[in-house]
Amino acid sequence: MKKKWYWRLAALMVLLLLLPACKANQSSKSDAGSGKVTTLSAAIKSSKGKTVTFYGFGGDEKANLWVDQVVTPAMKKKYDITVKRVPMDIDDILNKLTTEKEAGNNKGDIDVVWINGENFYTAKQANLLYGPIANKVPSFNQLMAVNGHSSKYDFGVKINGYEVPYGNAQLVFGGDKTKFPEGFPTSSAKLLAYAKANPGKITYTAPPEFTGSAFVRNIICDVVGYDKVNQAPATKAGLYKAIKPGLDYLNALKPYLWQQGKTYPKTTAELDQMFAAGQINMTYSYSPMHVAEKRHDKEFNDNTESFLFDKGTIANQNYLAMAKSSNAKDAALVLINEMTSESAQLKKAEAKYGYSIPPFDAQKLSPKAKQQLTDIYNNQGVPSLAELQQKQIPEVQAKKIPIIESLWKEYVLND
Amino acid sequence: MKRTSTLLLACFLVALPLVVLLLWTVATQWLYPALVPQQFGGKVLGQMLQEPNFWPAVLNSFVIALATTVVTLLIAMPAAKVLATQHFMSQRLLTFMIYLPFILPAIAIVTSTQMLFIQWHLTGTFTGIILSHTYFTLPYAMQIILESYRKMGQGYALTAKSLGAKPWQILRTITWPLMAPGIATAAGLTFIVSLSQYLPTFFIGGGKIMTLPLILLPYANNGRFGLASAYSVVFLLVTMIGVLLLKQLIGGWHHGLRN
Amino acid sequence: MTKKSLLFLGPFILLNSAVILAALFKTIQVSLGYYPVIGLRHYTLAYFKTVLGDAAFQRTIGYSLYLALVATILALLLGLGMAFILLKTSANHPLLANFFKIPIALPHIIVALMMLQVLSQSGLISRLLYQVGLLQQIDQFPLLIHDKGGIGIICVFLYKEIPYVAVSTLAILKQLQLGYVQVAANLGATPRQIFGRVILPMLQPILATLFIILFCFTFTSFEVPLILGSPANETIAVTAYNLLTQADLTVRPTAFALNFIMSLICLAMTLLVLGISARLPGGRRHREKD
Repeated sequence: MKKKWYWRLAALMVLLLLLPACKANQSSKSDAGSGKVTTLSAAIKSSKGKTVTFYGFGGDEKANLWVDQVVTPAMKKKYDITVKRVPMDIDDILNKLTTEKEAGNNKGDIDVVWINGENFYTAKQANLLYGPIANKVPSFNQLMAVNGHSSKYDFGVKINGYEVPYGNAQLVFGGDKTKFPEGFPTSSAKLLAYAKANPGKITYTAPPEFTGSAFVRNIICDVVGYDKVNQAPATKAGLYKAIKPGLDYLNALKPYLWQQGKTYPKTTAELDQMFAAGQINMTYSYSPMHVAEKRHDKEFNDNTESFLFDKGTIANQNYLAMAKSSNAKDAALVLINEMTSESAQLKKAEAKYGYSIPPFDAQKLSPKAKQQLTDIYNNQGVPSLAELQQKQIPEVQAKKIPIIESLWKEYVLND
Repeated sequence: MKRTSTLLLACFLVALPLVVLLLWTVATQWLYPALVPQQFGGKVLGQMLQEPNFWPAVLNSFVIALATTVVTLLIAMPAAKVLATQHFMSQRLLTFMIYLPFILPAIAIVTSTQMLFIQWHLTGTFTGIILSHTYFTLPYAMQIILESYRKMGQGYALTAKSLGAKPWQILRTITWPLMAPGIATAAGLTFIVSLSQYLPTFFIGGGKIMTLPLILLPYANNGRFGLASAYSVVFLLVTMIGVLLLKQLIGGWHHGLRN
Repeated sequence: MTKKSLLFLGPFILLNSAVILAALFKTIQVSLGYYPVIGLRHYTLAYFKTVLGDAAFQRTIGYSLYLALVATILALLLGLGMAFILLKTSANHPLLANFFKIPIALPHIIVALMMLQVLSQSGLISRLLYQVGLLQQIDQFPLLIHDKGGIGIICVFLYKEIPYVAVSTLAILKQLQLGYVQVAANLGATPRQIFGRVILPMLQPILATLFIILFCFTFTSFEVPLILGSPANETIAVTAYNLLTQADLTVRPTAFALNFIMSLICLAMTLLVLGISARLPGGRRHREKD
């Protein structure tokens, strides 16, 4: 008798759990999300007075400031739409979207998402995004290379109009030129020679930290050639065979790294700090203007300059996409158009907002805008726009990235 | 005295990282090997105050933590009262039940309960966030309150009852004064734990309701030491205000009765 | 079981079991390979088999246990020590005593960042040693962050948990001070008897509880080792976190399997500690024997 209440409660709990589960199964059949978008002008009309959310990485205060000071006021003034910026890491966004989909929720909180690469691949695979939208965004048609590689492929994944290019990124190295009397190491071979002559003065952030992961891919591409990585099958065995010389190189470099490669820093912020303290002689960033920014902030001294590998460094773009469960797709379309507009993007390229490179096709820009962009790159210590574009390696396919990371872990880190 | 110097040493060790935290909020240049920043300025504080979500986040954090504390106490106190004197299940099973939230990884809990909360239409609401926080704060509160009940024992209350005291009188004049220190500690800890919750606020709140950890964490993860430090200082201030307030409220009642 | 007790217990049991059952259900379901979002609909033990058979995973478990046990035991010992000191000094130095409690209120990730700034080779202590001339070069400073032994990680946990243990045990010590010890001494008890019959029975249940709380927390914590750990020595929680945050959804079942194994380890540790505690003076089993 004593324990009966206990079981009754348990039964009640199970019932409570099952009830909503049944309900969810029914509702998941209905179309996820509400509304469809036809054209921008229709969207502008129907979205007046609405609120739209922008979910994306929130750890960059300058990019945040741009949304708050440039995009949000413009959206309010031009279209009477309220923008809510939510700082959330992309993996959390995907987790949230996935769970909402599992629960059959069709009134999601997330409207516009800042995304690229593996995450886009996952989102597309799990059918979390709404589209195609790119052809409905005038900024895309008017300002960008509609048929360019980066408009069609994101980390080798077919975009099919589910994303609109939002910004450029390219791996750029930074070094103190007084510590490289023979010039910067512009190839993996020169880097190894430098490391041997200066043991302990080079390191990189351990993958899966995403810039460190890009560094490893960049080295591999430099050693074995991009085409080999690109053509290799996306399996562990196939990739291992293709990139083995790259892994061998990294192992040859390992004893000359900081702490003999037994341990690595975890974030690029730490890498920068070690560089600034003179502990290591080289740093890197996905932002081509990184050195200029840090010099401006007096974290790096004025001898610090950027350099690239002669065979190029990994470049990719980041994009804006719309969640399938978005409840305000019209307002989301207006927001995506505004965030990729010439006026907003040229502001984003200013020092105050983090020197971001617009995803525009130079030929489609007005002469004034073109000049403004070129001027930014005359900033001290960074490569010119022409050099950046000339020395580019496309990103390897999204599916291969976690495999390369695990191969690095297995054959370099734990070897 | 030896003990005092040990306490001083402990406080020094506590202070060391805190000093770094404070200096980072006002530093504009602080390179190795300088012991204190080479340049001071209000840049970081300015950036923090420019954030449109700053004040709403402060307010939301405070309100949610306070509400969570109230809900947690309302759930934990009666439950602890029964459990402290119960005989129908083994003490081990009981302890085990209370600590289950510690044992299951938070990330698994949060992602799976999110489904439940969506189905109950609690996502994106204060109620949802407060309930999810309560789940995580309950073990802390239960542990302390249960301990207080056990240490108090039933003797006083039973004596009072046999002398004809009404349940309300017993609570007011015996249970509460004896329990107040324990309850104040539990309340303070609940407030602290709720305030620092990140995962449940994010997943259940969906980013609709901003709190301090939600803004702070991306900066911390990205190694923005200055901004992360500035938010941490604000975070500490909010915590202190909350804990002092709770202590005053709970301890105050206790005090008033004593006089 | 009276109706009143049920009413009193109801909200607690309802909330806890709803959340726990939901989480358990989902964790088991996904770790067994049922994950319809990406088209997995067949139950299998394959994920558990892969995880358990992986040599790297076995190393990871050992390392995680090492970190959690060292941090927990040190925090308990030092925390209890600090509680004794607070007991004697907090009346005279209330300000210092309160200051000592501040770390309880700081989130772990902040403490981790602060430790990075204090303990790293370019951190505050290294700068101090450099300024006073004990250090000529930055690399002479020992590696305390991203190191093999996880010193930085342990420091973060100690910084946070010592005050927590001290505050939690202080209340009990105060009760001891209220007279139990004196009474026992007046009744002619030897110091050994006082410890065995008075102090231990009152202290050990709370220490066991704290052990469980701290162990489970440090064992499953991913934020701190993620920032301060060595990539070559991963903890199981970091592995699970890295899998969960990977864009590739097909590794989710493995991540959930890891989560489930972590839960089981915490569970086993909890039962073990509760079992020991019950058999010690002050425990339920112990009393039954008397």
